[in-house]
Amino acid sequence: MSESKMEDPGGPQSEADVIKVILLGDSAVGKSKLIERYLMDDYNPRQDSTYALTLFRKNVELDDGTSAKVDFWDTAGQERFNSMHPSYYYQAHICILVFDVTRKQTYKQLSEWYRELREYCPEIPCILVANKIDVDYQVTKKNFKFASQHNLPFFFVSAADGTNVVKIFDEAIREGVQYKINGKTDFVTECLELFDDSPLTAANSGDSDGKDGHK
Amino acid sequence: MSDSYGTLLSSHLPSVHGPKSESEDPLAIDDPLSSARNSSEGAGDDSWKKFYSANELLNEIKIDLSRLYINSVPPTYFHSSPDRVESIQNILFLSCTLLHPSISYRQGMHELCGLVYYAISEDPSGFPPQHVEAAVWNVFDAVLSTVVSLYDPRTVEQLTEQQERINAKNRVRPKTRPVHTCELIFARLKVIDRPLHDRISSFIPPQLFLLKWLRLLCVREFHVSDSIHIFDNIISSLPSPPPRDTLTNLAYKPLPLVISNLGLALVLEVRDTVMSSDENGLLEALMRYQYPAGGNGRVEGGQYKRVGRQGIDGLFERAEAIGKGNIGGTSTTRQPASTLPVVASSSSSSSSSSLSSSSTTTTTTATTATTTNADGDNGVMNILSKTSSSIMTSMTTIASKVEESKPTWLMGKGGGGSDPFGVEDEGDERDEEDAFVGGGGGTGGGSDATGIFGLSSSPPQPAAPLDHPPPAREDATQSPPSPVETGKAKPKSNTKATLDFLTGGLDSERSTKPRADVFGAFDDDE
Repeated sequence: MSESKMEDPGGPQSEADVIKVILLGDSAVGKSKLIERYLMDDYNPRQDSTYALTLFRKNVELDDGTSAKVDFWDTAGQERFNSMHPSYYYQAHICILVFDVTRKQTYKQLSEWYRELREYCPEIPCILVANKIDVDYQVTKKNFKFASQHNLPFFFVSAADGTNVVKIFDEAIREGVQYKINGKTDFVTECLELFDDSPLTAANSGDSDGKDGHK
Repeated sequence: MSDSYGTLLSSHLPSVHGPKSESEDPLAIDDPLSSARNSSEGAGDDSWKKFYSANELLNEIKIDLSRLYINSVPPTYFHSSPDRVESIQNILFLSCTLLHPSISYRQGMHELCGLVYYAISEDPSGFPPQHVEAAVWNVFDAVLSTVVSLYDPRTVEQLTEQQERINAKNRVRPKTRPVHTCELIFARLKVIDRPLHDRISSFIPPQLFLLKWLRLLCVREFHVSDSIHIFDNIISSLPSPPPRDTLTNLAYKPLPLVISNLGLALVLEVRDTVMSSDENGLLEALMRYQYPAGGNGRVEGGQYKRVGRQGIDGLFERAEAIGKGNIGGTSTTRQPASTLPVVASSSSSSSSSSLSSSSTTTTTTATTATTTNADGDNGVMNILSKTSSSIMTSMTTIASKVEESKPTWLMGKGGGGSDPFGVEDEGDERDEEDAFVGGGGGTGGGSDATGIFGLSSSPPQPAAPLDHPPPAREDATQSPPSPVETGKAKPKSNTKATLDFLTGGLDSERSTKPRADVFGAFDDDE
């Protein structure tokens, strides 16, 4: 246990066999609710706002029969303004990006969230989730371009009635495990190829003007 | 009277009618439709900009207030009473606008404010309802100032724009104040209990649990009546009068020792569990904290057992001992907390009164709730002495009363058979997989009748209405226009300067950053 660990903004090393799932999205889109629904399979109509980092752990059985510890990291939706604690992103394996179909603003903010995610975790897989479809199922007929634009797997969910919740977490864990084992998954590689054509790549590499001097 | 809380409120809350014009000509307001305005940014008056950002702030606060719950307080306490929620919303709005615009509203503040509101308004002696809001404003101010460094998103050192640009380019994220604060506390643990420190730090970073506990002063970890005792202990240990610039000063300030000590005491409380259990147990102990350790703090279903005033006082005693390096918590040399003069500083007379202190000191003031004597005799009085003395007299009154009648005012409320976690059955099919998987088919319908995701980017909904100007507060007439009010008068008169100063700095970046088109944001970097 070296002292220098605390100096590392990334935070301490966690156990090697933990899959870290992080959730991102604006305030009140239902991040905590989704976790609660998944972990407890229960929906409590009341939900305090999340005001600090929170961590849930679950032992999950994987497809290959082995089991893994999965940590779900949850935080205040407002934390984007807080330059979220680097430890939040540190060694994450998969991100679930959430917006609320009843509030357009939360959709518009996705690009900000996504940009921040990619700043810290350029490669991890990310799943886009549209929550609160129970309010109006018609919304599922709409086309949300953000997903296709960034080549993100996209799901409609409802933490309130449970629609798709287990599915997206299962999916997330699967992606996370794969990323952990293989580094870049095929899916991510695919994404990155797509990015080659997008302005994001230019922004990410940041060396188009040569000042950074690294590739 | 002009400096009263009510006036503050009416002059700062955004009106449904749009920005307030300081000139008499309504057209002098920056007209969003005026063509003269379109091209030049920053030209002229920015009333509309302020108006919209004020409403944005209000909406942000409302989102959280709509889900404000405090341990052991029946959910209906807030949620079947729009007036209460509106009061809290007003207080938060003013606080964020006037006192700490550079921090603005942060999630968690609403719970601190909610707890203070509950403590004051639920006083069985009947705190004059028309004064509650103003009193809460004052107390909340004091409470928030103690933990403000845990909410402050800025970096520890103020960075120049140039430094920020360099950092951004190199992907360097300097530590923010909340993280730094937690690390400072945790560093003290290293001195106090090295093995414990090392064990924890090998699994989780300290901000993960310290922020969780301390941002809310443990409101989520304790029963509401215990939380009130905790607030008392903290407020009454502050220097008196408290530094008024805590909220407006831009420099980093570490947490008051009393809170830092509390954090350490809570960690040490679960030492055995942390040292003896595996990682899961360690996480459980810290992230689902129970006091006292051993698991009988929290009952299933989210109900909290009361620790009681002595229990909380004991906790603070241990915290103080720990702070002095007396880890075993052997406080043989100390007096029991109840007889301890809790306010360290200048107050010459007894200062043991606090939100819930023993009732012996202030039975006289109890009968004079709205009069203006009892000037600064008590802890709370000193803490809040900048404000209307009539209000503060009432404060001490309720403070003293709270303890006296706690059994009725708290236990009656907290107990109730109602299970706040009572879950309506939500249908049995929890996992209707495949119902809507994958993109939802249709490609059409970018904009539709509901317009939820139509293309037009409408401006933020103006004024989810405060559809009336706040009523002139009665307290205005009762507050003596005495010098003691200058504490609040000051922020007002300096508001503009303060705001300009602050918004000219870091804040402006955030508040004025244009909401990019949904996908346009990435273009910035080209």
